[in-house]
Formats: sequence, structure tokens, C-alpha cells
Amino acid sequence: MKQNTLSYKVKQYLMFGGVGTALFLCVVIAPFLYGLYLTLTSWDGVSRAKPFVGLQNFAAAFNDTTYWQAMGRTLIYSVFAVILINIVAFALAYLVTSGVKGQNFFRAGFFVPNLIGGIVLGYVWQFVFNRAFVAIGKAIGGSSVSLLATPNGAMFALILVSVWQYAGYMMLIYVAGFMSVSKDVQEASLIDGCTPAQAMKNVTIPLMRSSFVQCIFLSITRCFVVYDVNLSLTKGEPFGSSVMAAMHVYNQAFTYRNFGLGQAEAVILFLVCAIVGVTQVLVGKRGEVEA
Amino acid sequence: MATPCGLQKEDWSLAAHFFASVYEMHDDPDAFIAGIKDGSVKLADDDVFNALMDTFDVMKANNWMKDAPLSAVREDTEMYLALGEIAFKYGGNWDWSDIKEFEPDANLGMMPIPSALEGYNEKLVGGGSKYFFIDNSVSAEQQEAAKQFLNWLVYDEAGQDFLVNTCALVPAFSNITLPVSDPLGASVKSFADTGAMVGNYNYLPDDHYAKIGISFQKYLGDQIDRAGFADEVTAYWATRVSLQLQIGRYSDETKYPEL
Repeated sequence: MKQNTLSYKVKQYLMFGGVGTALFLCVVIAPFLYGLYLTLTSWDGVSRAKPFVGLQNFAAAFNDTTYWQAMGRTLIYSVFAVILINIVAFALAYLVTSGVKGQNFFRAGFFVPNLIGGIVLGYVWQFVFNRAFVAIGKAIGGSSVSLLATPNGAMFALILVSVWQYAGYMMLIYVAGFMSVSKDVQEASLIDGCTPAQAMKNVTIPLMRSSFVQCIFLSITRCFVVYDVNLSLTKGEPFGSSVMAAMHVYNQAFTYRNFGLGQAEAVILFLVCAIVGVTQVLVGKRGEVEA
Repeated sequence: MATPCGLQKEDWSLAAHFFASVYEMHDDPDAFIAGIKDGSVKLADDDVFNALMDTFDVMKANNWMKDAPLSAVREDTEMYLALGEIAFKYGGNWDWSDIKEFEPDANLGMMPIPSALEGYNEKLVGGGSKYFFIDNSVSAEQQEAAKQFLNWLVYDEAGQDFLVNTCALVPAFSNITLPVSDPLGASVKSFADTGAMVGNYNYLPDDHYAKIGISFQKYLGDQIDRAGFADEVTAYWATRVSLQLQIGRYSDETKYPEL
């Protein structure tokens, strides 16, 4: 059988990737295209009528101040969370590859928070903030105000829970990165007179650049569209000051019954996230080095 | 007890329930809202608003979580009510499903929001919270089947048992005589049987409870005062129209004859 005809290649692709592609088309691409159509209507989410309004929803989205406030908040949250996640993950990965006793157990342990899933995580931490810390505060005579009851406290809590959730997952990627740096290169740099810190900064980290690119991309994209932890931990309270972009989009479409407007805001959020993510990956990949 | 009251911090409790009473305790809520919109009604001077907010202030000052009202956990408030540590909680008969977990004495019931308003201290705010509609765009057979189901629910013994006992609802139908199983529901029924109820106003916009909830939470947390709260509510209504004006309201009972 000729192995370089188009029909052969297509058949091979369908045999291995057909099911996955079909699912991807049905679950991701088709709703996305349908959503683009809905941004041109003023549908309210339940009625049978979908009146066509053209680009009015996009104009309304650009004028929606609460949306841009939520975007700003998401940006601040993402910056803090991404930086902290990656620092903590890198430190944990370094610890866990440095040969301490029981390091495999620690690897599994640090990864467990990521397995719990956003909703349960939010409820667990809500208990910790609302009850555990408040009870401790009352017992030592401090305030009984939960961290989640103040706007800054709620943001801090969200960042903390996100770092707790993702640091373990990113740690595994950094561990793989550490292991991919060959010991010879590190030894050579130490023999040539580098201090361990210089060796880390000038040899190990540049060789791990692809791990950094991956981790930063994953953490940026996940933090930008955070919803489950937001919902279960703060629900946007107090007084709507911890509503992130995805929660605002959901509320706009499903709670306030402005489906067309909510969908337009979702498309804008997707574009922002895509531009940031792709830019970051392109810039990162360009600087990758090999030993 | 020093602080006998319990308030919830959730936006739906504050705005969809407590603040909705402000509309409901007017004789004509539609006219009241229209007045807020066109400026003829100044909310901060409105008697109903001030009477209910005065009661809210009393509850707020005697709230068991008054030092940190926005940190109040709903289940804790219900637990303290069930155990007798606090005497009053702002809520409804739906709270029974949580309260019963704490096995309280059966000495609990519903009372109207006490206020300085004449005639409203004996009336409970409430009404049917869910409605069935038959979709008239489906086939005649399906509509007939739907009607049969609704008749079964209301007139058949098994259906009545389902409504009152399985679902623990207070039945909205005068022909159902089964006793309501929980004390809060029984309390509601005693008000309903004597007609001492203030009806629900069902025509608030979809984002009302979320947006007014934010303002009310600020009030509960002492971030704004009552005048500021009234201003935020007025600003909200400036850009909204109540659904009643959008979809039309059916007050003519002959449109829905007994099934």
C-alpha cells in the first residue's frame, strides 16, 4: 500500500485521532461558533426569540464598567498568583530533587492539593478562613472578622488558595526540568569556579527555560479564567469586590439574563487570554538554549 | 441573652427577601417602583423603607455576629437558633431543612417582621414561590397530559402526600387538608389560612437581588449609611424596568379557570 497518498494519511489520522478530534469539534469548536452567533443577538437565555442586534453587545461590553473592573481584578490576581505559584513550585522542585530522605513521598504530598479540584478546595479553605481562623482569633483575643469579609482579604485568600492548588502541579514540571539538566554541565560549571548560586542562575535555569515557559503559560491561562475557586471560596463577596472576569461573564449571561452581552464579554476574555498566552509562549520559546 | 438576633450576610437573603418586603408592603408596588424611577418618590423619605430599615437596624445592633456581620456563617446562625442561644433569625420556612439537623425543641415558628407600619405586624410576607406553566406551543395531547399531572398533584391523595410530606411544602391549595409536617411550615399555613399574608412581588429584574444585595451588604458592613443605600437603590432603578412592564401581568383570574 502506498504510504504517502493523502487518503492513506487521512485514514491513519482518523484511526488514531478521529475520536478525539470529533469530541473536540463537538464540545469546544461547535459551541464556540454558536456562541459567536449568539453575540450578535439579544437572547436572554430562555426565550424562543433571538432578535438580531449586530455588534451592539460588543459596544455594551466595552461600556460595561463592572466588566472592566473585574478584568482589572483578574489581572492583579493573575500577576500575584502566577509569580507566587512559580516561585513556590520552583523552590519545592529544588527541595524535592536535592536528595532529602522521603523526597518521593513529598512529591506526592505536594501534588495532592491539585487533585482535590477547585470547588472542594474553595469550601475547605472557606471553612479554614471563616471558622478555624475566626475561632483562633477569638480565643487569643483578636478580631473575629474573617479574612473573607474584607475586599483585600478576599483577594489575598483567592491568591493563597490558587498558589496552594497549583504549586504542586507546577512543581512536577519543574522537577522534570531539573532532571533534564545533565549533571555533567552543572559539575563542569562548579569546577570552573562558579558558586552554587551562580551555577543555578547561569547554567541550570537557562537550560530549564522550556519548563518555565510551560509553567507560566499554564498558570497564566488558568488564573485568567478562574471560576470554581472564586465561586466556592468567596462567591464574589464582600459586596461584589472579588468577582473575577469569568464570574462576571457567567453572572451576566445566566443570572442577569443578558446572554448575548455575557457571550460577547466571554469572547473578549478569550481574546485577551489567547493574546497574552500566545505572546508569552512565543517570547519564551525564542530564547530557548541547549547545552 | 445579650445578642438575640441573627442576620444572614448572603445577598439573596438581604435583597431578594428583606428588601423585597419594602416593595411588597406598599399597596401598589408597581406604582412605587415607577415613582422611584421618575423621581416622584424619594426613597429615603418613604415610610415603609424607613420602618423596615429601622427594624433592620435593631436586628443589626443585636446581631450575635454584630462585630463581624459579613463573616456570619448561615449554618452557625441556624444552629444557635435551634439550640436556643439566639431567639430570632431573619429567614423563612425553608430554613427548617437545616434547623431540623440540630434537633431543636418544637417551639419554633414564623412571625412577621415587626415594624412601625400599621397593620403589617400581623401579616406574614409570603406566597407561592414556584409556579407551573403549561407550554401552549406543544401538542394538544401533551397539554392534556400536563393538565392531568397537575390535577393529580392537587386532587389525588398520592399527589397531596407528595406535596405536603415528601416535598415538605406548605400547599397553596385550599382543598388540601393534610397537616404540614414541620413547625415553620405549619406556622406559615396558619397565617395563610386566615388570609393574613402580604403577597410576593414577582416582577423584579433578574439582577435585582445581586445588585441591591451588594448595596445592602455594604450597609450591613457599615460602609454606607441609610441615605447612601437609598441613593444606590435609586441609581439602580434609573436603568431598569420591572418585568411587569415588559411581559404584561395577568391579574384576571378568568384567564386561568380551575383545571
